[in-house]
Amino acid sequence: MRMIKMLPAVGSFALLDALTGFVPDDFINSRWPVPYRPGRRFHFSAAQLWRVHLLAALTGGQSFNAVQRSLGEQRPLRRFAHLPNERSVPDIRMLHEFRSRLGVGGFRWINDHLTQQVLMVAPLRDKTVGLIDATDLPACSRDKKKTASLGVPNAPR
Amino acid sequence: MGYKKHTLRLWISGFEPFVLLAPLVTWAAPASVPESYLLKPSIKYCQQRLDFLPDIVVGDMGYIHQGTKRELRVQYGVAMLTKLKADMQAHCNYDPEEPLRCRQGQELQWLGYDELDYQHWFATPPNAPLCCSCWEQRACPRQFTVPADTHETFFGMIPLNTALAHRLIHSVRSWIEPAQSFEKNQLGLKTMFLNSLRLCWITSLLADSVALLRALAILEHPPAQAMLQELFSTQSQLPLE
Repeated sequence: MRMIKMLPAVGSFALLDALTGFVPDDFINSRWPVPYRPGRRFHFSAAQLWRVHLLAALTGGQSFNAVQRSLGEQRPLRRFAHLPNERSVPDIRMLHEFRSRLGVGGFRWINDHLTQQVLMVAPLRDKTVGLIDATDLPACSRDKKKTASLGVPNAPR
Repeated sequence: MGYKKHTLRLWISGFEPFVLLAPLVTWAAPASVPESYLLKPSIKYCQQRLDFLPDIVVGDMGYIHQGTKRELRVQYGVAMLTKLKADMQAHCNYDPEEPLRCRQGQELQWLGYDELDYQHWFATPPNAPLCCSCWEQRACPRQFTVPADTHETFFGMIPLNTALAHRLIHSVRSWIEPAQSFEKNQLGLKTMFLNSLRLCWITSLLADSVALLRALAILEHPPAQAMLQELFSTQSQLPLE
């Protein structure tokens, strides 16, 4: 058994390397295979797109759009997401479609799979203890607020 | 206005280098949804999807609903532990800080919970001081039962005046705070642009995914030494001359 001192910090590229081997790519790809569509080729596997989403949390809470922009610039992020080069990077629409395709239930399936893996290897004593709690997450409503338009005001020409 | 991330976490108790929690079930809900509404669904989800049930669940006073606790105890065999509310304490005949006593005043020890009859067994300790001089000692069985539903929050499956309940409520319960802080501050849940419940769900589940992947990595390659070991040695060798 290899010993490590502790896991690298969140936001570091070293953490991506430490975790990449534990992502259940085969499970994700077998459950959500690349759909056949006539016409334009579907480029990315479900595992690749899930990894891109995971980068939002692994890089310290970036938005999905920011992660998508970073993919073109940061090679370690592409390496984690199994993207071969900066030209083949999923766009915002693909990420949105992937979230719609999986839905909340799909993301839960993946977590259930990971949880079962944890339960298989976790050393648990005879009495297991769970802790339940809720934490507040603020909702952003900046996009719902009425703001003055930035364009040229309507005026008689 | 906002959302709440409700998470049931498992304490990986056999992992000794440090406290390790793994998320089992997560729900995202509008902030107006009471916490207790998601307790039973969490347990049910664990049973159905993970084929696993924690034996004991520790929560804060948001999960104090007695009917739900009773249901978990009877149907699922899960002990739900919370503190007593102050107003509940005022009307309760039992005190979490005081041991149970027989009617002659002898302290009793908790022997355990009988799952078949839903009752607790208490007994006098060996060499109990009051028993030697008690006028009822010949007829006294020295073992007593109390039905668990006498007071669901106090007795439940683990009475609140036992050392086990004290440790779970006062020590173990507080471990959830760093786990939440990690998700909100380091994984950035607090700063994410959450403008819909669906997006809140997905980002919450992604935060759980990271926690689970970290748990897997830690369990697969455990730390070579206790994380605070260097700190311990520095503190214990403080020169006092």
